[in-house]
Amino acid sequence: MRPLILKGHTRPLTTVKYNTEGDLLFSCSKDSQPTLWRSSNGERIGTYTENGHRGTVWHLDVTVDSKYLVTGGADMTAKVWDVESGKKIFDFPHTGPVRHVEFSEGSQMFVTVSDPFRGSPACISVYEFDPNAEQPEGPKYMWEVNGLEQGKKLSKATWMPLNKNLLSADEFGVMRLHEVESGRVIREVHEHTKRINAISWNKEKYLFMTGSADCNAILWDAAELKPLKTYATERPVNAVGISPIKEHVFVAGGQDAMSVTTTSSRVGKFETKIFHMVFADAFGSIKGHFGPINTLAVHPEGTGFTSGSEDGYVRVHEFDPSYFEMHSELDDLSALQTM
Amino acid sequence: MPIDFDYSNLDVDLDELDLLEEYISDGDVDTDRVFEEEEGEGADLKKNFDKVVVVDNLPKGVPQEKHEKLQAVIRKLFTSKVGDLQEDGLFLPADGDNKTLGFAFLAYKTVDSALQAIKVLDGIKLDSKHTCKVFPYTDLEKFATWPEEYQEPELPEYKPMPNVNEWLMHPAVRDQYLLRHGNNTEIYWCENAVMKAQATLAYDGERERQNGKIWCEMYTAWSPQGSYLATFHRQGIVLWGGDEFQRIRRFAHPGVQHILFSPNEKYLLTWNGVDDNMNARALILWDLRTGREIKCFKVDKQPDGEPAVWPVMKWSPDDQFFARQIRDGISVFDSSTGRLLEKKPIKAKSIREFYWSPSDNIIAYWAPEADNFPARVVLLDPETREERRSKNLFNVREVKLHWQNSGDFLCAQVLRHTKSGKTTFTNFEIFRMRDANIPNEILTMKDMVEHFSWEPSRERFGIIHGENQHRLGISFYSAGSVEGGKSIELLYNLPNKAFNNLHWSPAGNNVIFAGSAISGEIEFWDVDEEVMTAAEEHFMCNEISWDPSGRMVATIVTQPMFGSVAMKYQLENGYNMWSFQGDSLRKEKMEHFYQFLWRPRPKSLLDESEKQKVERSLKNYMARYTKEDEVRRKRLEASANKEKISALQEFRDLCAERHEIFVQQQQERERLGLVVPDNDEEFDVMDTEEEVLVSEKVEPYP
Repeated sequence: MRPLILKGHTRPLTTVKYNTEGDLLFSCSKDSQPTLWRSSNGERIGTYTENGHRGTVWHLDVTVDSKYLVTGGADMTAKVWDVESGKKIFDFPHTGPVRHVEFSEGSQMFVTVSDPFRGSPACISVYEFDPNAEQPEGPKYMWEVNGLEQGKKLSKATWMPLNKNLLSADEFGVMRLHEVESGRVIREVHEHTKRINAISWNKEKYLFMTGSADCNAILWDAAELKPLKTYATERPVNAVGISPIKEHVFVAGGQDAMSVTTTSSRVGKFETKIFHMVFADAFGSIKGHFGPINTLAVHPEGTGFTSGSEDGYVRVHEFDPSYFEMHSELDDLSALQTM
Repeated sequence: MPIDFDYSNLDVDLDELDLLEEYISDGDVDTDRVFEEEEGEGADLKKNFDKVVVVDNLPKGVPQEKHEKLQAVIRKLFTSKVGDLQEDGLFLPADGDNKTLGFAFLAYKTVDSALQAIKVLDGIKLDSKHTCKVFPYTDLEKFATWPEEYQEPELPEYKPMPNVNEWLMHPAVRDQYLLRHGNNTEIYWCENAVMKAQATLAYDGERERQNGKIWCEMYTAWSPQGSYLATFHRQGIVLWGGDEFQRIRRFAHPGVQHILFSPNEKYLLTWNGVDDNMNARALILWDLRTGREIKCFKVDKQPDGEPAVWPVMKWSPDDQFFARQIRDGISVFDSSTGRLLEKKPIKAKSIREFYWSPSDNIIAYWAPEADNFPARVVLLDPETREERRSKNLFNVREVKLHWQNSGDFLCAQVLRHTKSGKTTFTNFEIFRMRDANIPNEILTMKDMVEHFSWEPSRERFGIIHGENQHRLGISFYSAGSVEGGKSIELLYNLPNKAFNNLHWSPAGNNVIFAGSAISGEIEFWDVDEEVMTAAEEHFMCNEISWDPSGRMVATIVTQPMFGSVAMKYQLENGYNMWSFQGDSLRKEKMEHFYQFLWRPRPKSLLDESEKQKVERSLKNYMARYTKEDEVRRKRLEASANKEKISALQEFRDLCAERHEIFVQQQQERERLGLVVPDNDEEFDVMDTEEEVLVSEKVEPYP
């Protein structure tokens, strides 16, 4: 498995994301240049920079039809782009750096998470998304998270199935289920003990995974918000992914960049681990980055995955045929039962 | 078994102290006294009498003029060894004419000193006529009120001791190991390689936990034959044994930092780490089986003023003696009394280092060149004080002594320099202990020598050497036969092996090459077959430990209990288990991991011929054990599979249920406009080809 190594960013990667079909790959980094790549060959198609972000771009998301891109940056704006032309369509000003942006199911809305800044609290905003509107409209709903201390940060907010609720995650590892309109907290879950760095859904959105600085990743049942499996690693988890074709999950991260500068890359364990989804044992690890892995995206067809790291590189991995042939006797229940 | 221990970083929690005390103090009169004394001056009268001793058989009828002189003599004699008297602590009773009555009362400053005086000074000779008796003041009272009639003492109820060899009877003869991490002390049975070194708990301090105690918060140590487990506590050492690790014995020694069992577990030495030559109870010799204190010693710094290094004393292989190196000599003590043999040390001029033979009461030591005397390696019989063999050496920089573990060979690794002093080379002087007159043979090596070690119980040895630190290789030699004839022979050399250490299996033949801890590279080597069986790594590994049977080996990352070095290893704390051939069996991570200790085994009861018999019929045994292993493996697999099957079943059932809901919701999705109904016709798939000029290169005309 020789990865494509994409050298386009000059600063640490913050997010990588495939479109619905998986032929396009979006990436953004601290260098303020969201970039579009062809996932099959690593060709750089273009960047989204015209009247673009100033400073770090923290997160991005793409509509289900791959036509529009939303980006959120440290310059306190979320921006919507036309994917094909690279033109910016809208600017959405916020009260603090924008940490997270995510389209709803069907891409008719998107949610943003902004940091506390100069007295303004951490905020979750929901926008209606109409690409044909003349002017960008302000947020439809905007609320603070009840129970989060003033000045503390949120890291994520994700749409629950059918856009019925929003799930937020904060820097203490607490997750809260909210009413979309009011932000009222319906449930609070304390399973992680440190900042939640990543949330990732399976295709049909009944399973999702969280990764936390407490070195664990957890697989959840979305309907009951119940932890199903825990994947333990030795380093903070920054990125997670669920395979759409196998009972495998991907967990990546590494020692915090601050504390590894003087040691070799092996101490940091900058690797992506593959766990069996049910047995929760790590059976593979993919090394190569020389800084912590900040973000990861699994190809929608399950043929590979892409990781982006603090080292400024994007590595696009395509699995070898042996991965698809790999067949644990345990995966086959009927065979097991006859043993 | 040297244990480094630093109490200075420890916060003393008084509650905890009380708790720990229970381990040691109940019912033990001696220790009670020690503890009381620690609590400071008490107003209790009885306690004060504990510090008073009576000295009898002093000169009678000494007139008053001479009282002062007599007092001075007594004072000198009775304080120099045991400690000071209290102010006005000497009372010399006299009759009406002011003539002495022939006895005196001495009040010491501490109970400790008083006890010591009774022990040490009883029977001391003032002059040829006066042999003094020293006894506790409380005895006066005791004997004054002694009942006239004999009362039969009540016999204490007989409590059978747990069988300390119980663990050797394990039906499958497994080995045990101890893990010391956080506040936990756990002992596990280790399954064999077929069972992936699976661990089953033997004991983890459950009984202590139920009593609201922590089994051990400090270090632990096994006795050399594995019969006992010693735990360190602030007040002393506790020994545990038997199948449930019952408490067997306590040795009260406040602040104990190091212990050393005698090889056959008859005696125990404990040291509190003090080397000021003042503390009378710095080092204590115990009879291990009765728990009785035989003798205590002061400990001085090394002759050159460096702090004393454990082991301060070294045991003879048969437990009969222990010895300490002093300036120009070795003090050899009798273990049963703790007294110096022939009341004087054995002379050993300029001695630098000494070791007992592992099998015989022979001491090997070396001394560097001094005062026009050449450097020497000497083999000494401490009982006759005769030199059995000595060899003079010239131009010596340094000597390292290596005993082969069955005591058949001694190797003196001598670093020498040429006459000009510019270059150095190494001589390995191999002494054959079993031959008459102990002949020796020399192997010379021009290379820098990084490491030397004997193969356990065999005649082979391995050397890591090379032109410099960066170009190392490994050579294996045979020292020839134990007796007569055959000489040293190079077996083979492995060039370009960048390792610093050899870790021999206790069963011999298999050896691990280990590099630096940072790289953690290890290679498993079969010496007979001359093959590498595995090349692996264990990052940051700072310890490699073979099980006593040589079936399994653990690579370990532990951290010291105290100090900042701990940080370095913290992240990697844990251990990996390997088969002797280097198959990775199991990996464990563990926070605050301090000790991994295999439980040692006693020496085999079989003699050489019986061992060979077993080896010859190995095939028969093998069939049996293979079969047993197979049954066990299947059982294990079946139970593991059962768990996995149910986990998988449960998970897939849930997913199927959730998928069903997803399908049901599809209509709602369409109604809400969240999805576009599947319509492939929307797309036209076209194959296009495009030629792109990547680069152009014009070949120059030839």
